[in-house]
Amino acid sequence: MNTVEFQKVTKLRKDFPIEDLTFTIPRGFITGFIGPNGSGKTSTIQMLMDILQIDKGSITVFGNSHKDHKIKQRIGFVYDELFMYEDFTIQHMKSFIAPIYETWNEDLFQKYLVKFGLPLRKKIKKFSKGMKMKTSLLFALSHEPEFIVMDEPTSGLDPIFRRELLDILQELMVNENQTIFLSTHITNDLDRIADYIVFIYQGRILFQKSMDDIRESFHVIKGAKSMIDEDTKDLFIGLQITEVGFQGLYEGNPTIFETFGDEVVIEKATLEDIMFLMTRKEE
Amino acid sequence: MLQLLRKDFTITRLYLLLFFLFILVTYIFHVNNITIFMALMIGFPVLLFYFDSHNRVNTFLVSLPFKRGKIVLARYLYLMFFLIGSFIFIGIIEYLAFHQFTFLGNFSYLTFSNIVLNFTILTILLAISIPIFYFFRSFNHGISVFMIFQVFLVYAYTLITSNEYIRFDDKLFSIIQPVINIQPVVMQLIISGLFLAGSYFVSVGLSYKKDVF
Repeated sequence: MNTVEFQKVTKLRKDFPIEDLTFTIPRGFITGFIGPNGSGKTSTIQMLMDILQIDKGSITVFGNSHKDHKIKQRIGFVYDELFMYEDFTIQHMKSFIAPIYETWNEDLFQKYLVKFGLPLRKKIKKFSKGMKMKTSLLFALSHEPEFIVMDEPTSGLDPIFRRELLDILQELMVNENQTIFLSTHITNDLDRIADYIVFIYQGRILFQKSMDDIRESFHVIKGAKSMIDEDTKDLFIGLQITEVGFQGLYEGNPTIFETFGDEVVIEKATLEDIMFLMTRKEE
Repeated sequence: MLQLLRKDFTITRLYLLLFFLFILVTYIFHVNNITIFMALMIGFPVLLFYFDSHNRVNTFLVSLPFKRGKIVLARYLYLMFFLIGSFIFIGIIEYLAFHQFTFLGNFSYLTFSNIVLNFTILTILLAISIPIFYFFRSFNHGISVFMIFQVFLVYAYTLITSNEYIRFDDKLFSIIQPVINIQPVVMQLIISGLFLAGSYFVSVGLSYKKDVF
């Protein structure tokens, strides 16, 4: 069962088209959305949230069109910034937001308010980046959404709060069995918590796989530069050649490289390796 | 809906207070002028759209479970409450200044029909102006076109009323006047309502069609 389904979604833009996006966000899991800066992550999330209009294709959320405003009762969102009037306080925001949600949980709001250490009556313009992110999270979680969308929530945060945030997400998954869609270019965050990964690059989906599949099937092969020729080059889906040697991203069973013995090093690929090497264009 | 209205009130309450104080002060110093009040009133929606744009609040609003039409309707309603409230306030001050506190007045007393006429003019101007800000989702583009529109309007008005060779105003009035004369107050309010309704539907259409920035 999927919470979200993108079917051949296209957004035509002069500078940066997003074409034929097809992927799903499975219910009850954390799906990481990775890609380098400017690859279309934020635009994809904005299309999902009906902030940007789509030109072709369809997006369904909980089986309904993403344009149906009622589905947003069940969605919590955290963007890379807190898009709220800077003269508002959390108290103002609560007076505005709480009555909108049918499932608003005041106890939960108070619990997270204390947990995040946020001031109720301080103006947002005086908040640090971390406090703004916590405020976004506070409101995203307080109406007990079934689906949480997060766009680069950890960028610009200190490592302590980044870890706290990831712990909160893991807690949610254990206790509430929620669906989380989390975009980031800091792939270390996802190595810890993600169940599925969707990889976008230059406005196209390169793959969608479970983390188990990724760990199983992607390997980094390292060796001497002299080993790379036209035949061996084609084995890799990403390749970096330096003066020292090469490192290539291989998808499949890496036992074929065992014949090279000690000449090559075979390592499990991290998400960062995958993102780096798959976007690498080597001549 | 109430939440959206309250939100607009919260962000503008200081400006409302200053505006109403300004009106009072102009009476105290005998410099009250309905044209100045109206110029300030037409700047009010600019203020609202500026706050939205500056803080990119629309991204937040459309992510909440609101229909876009409702967000636009709330904006129109809030502006109408503001206009009606302002004219009622000016009417009360005028009445008090004329009948009770005569030391406040420099008087050309504003009658009820003057107020309705000014209200109608202002709603028509707003009805034309507001969709500009929904068409140009960039506030900078919106305010530029809005200013050009205002300058054009002032220029056209001055030209039409002060150049004796241009008789366009008479022709226009000869069409409008008989319609208004059926029942001046009611007809003016109906015209205001029609302009606002048309403007609202245009703005809603634009808000659904355009990306939010």
